[in-house]
Amino acid sequence: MEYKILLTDSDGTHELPALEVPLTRENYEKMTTVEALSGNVYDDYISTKRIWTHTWAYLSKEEYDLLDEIYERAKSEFTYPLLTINGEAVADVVVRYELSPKNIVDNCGNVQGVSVTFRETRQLGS
Amino acid sequence: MQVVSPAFNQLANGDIRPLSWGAMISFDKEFDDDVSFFTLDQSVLNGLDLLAPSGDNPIQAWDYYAYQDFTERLVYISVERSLEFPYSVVSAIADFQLNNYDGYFTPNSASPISSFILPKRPVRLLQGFAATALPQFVGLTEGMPEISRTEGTATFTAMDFLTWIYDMPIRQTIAMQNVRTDEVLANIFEQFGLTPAQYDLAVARNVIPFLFFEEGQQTAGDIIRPLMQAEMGKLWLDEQGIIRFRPRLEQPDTPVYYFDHDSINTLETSEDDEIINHVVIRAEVRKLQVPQVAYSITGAIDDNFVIPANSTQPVYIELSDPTINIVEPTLGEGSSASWFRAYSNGEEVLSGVGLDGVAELTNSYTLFIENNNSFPVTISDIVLWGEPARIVGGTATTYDAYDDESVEKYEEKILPISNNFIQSISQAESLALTLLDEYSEYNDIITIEVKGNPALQLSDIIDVDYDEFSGEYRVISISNKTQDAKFTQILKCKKYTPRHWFTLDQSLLNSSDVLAP
Repeated sequence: MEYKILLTDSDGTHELPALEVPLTRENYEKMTTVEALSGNVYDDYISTKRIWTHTWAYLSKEEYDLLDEIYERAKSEFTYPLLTINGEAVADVVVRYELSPKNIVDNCGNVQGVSVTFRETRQLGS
Repeated sequence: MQVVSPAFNQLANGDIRPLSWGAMISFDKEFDDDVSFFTLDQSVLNGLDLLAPSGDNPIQAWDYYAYQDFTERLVYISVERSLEFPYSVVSAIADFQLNNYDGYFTPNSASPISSFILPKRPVRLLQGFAATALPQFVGLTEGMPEISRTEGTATFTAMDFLTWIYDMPIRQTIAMQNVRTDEVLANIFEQFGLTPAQYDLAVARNVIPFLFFEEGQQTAGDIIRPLMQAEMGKLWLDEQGIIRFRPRLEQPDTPVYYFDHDSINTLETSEDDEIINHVVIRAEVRKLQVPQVAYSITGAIDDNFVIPANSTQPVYIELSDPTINIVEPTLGEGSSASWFRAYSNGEEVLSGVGLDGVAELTNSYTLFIENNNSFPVTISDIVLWGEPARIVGGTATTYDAYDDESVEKYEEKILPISNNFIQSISQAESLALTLLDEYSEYNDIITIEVKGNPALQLSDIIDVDYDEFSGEYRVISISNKTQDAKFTQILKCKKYTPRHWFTLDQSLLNSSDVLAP
């Protein structure tokens, strides 16, 4: 199974550069631990959301610009993109998308240490 | 306690509890397309169609709005219910905050609902576990939302529909005889356009021989509060939006929930300021009389009052006792059971003066007297024949009851009650003994934050197992809040002593069952 990250927005579906390792997924639990008078505890939780992070050691100028365009389009169109990760049970999940700063390391415009973070959410305005 | 599945209670008691909630609001107050209103010549009488509410009356039609779901924007929900002592009326208030990062709830903004961000928007709030979010509140927003631009939030406050009804003036004059509390309540709710499907009123204990209210002179709350005080039952709008009434002996009396060290998070005790060991009840007990002279005046009603030639003037008469079925007076002494005289220059006028109509209220009577003569007349000597409801014995009745033992222990704690819905000594005695039974002894009032269950309701009996506070308690105030991924339930509870009231044909004579006051 080849893992691929796809982002969909108003401009279409875009395949992100080939993945390196690791592609990290963590669960964000909106949970509170409550302590009773006995000292025992219980947990209340209202939602679980997923967060994916990935770092590329190097990306070309074109590859970085693609990520940057998707990021800027989300801001100008007031809507989050949809994330699909082939190989994981993730299809068209609304995500808040963060992109690390552009760290150009040579005259060709190659960028070093590019990180993306996708935080699962929902389009509240829709 | 609201009826829930065992699975719901399992979730409430679980180690890890998946909270759920909901906020439904009808900002535009559009009706639900699935609700069909009654159409003349098309709908079947007593069929399923509803009478369309008159005008913009959300109190009448809270069930019929199309509500939009704003759950995804919820930041917190807080619903509080408490008994208004000593009226036995429950009021509910809700606060909730919505994510307003995009200004969607900001009035006078570019929001598509901007023009609908107004007071009195119908709201439904829910709290629960997993897939079951229980109804917690139905009501109307109060005022405009509080908008925080820095936090990106809109905060609303809402009051339940019953609280809104209390502030509304009575729309029709009520004069009823030998009516129970529930019948009066039904009359009031009908005035506000509520259908019987919107309320559930049990048969009350109190019977009121005569009662009257004038249109526009009092609010529904002015009537309902003392009515409920006399009954000492409970009137509330339940979590689903149904108005319910239960008399004082039909309150829950068996524990429905259990709390112990593992399910109580905090516990505090309250002061003993709710001890009552002396009850003084004052009431004007009225009884409707047989037809008789209800009002009379000898001489001119007002020396300066003159009805000019060929004109009509109102003569306002304030009645000392509420009176019904007044016979319309005619000109000349003894011309009918009710009569009046007219004079001109000291001479009695025997013709050309008559009645052009009356405005009859139970506490006032206005005659519109027409003078067809070519000279002015004065009116004098009015006698009105009707059925007055006079105070029995001529003065207000006072009933006094106290608990010697409690007075000795805690000093005298008086509760004075002045309530004209208490219309008999036995009724006053019953109310006073019930109050003394419940309040004359020091009973712990505890406030506990618990591992809560949103199905719990006001008046429920809970079983507490925690050190010296162990025992049964009645819930007298309840606060349910969901915020920061935590469901916080705070209960104010009063120690409950079970009473088994004597039931004819069921209880054994000389058993532990006691006669209900």
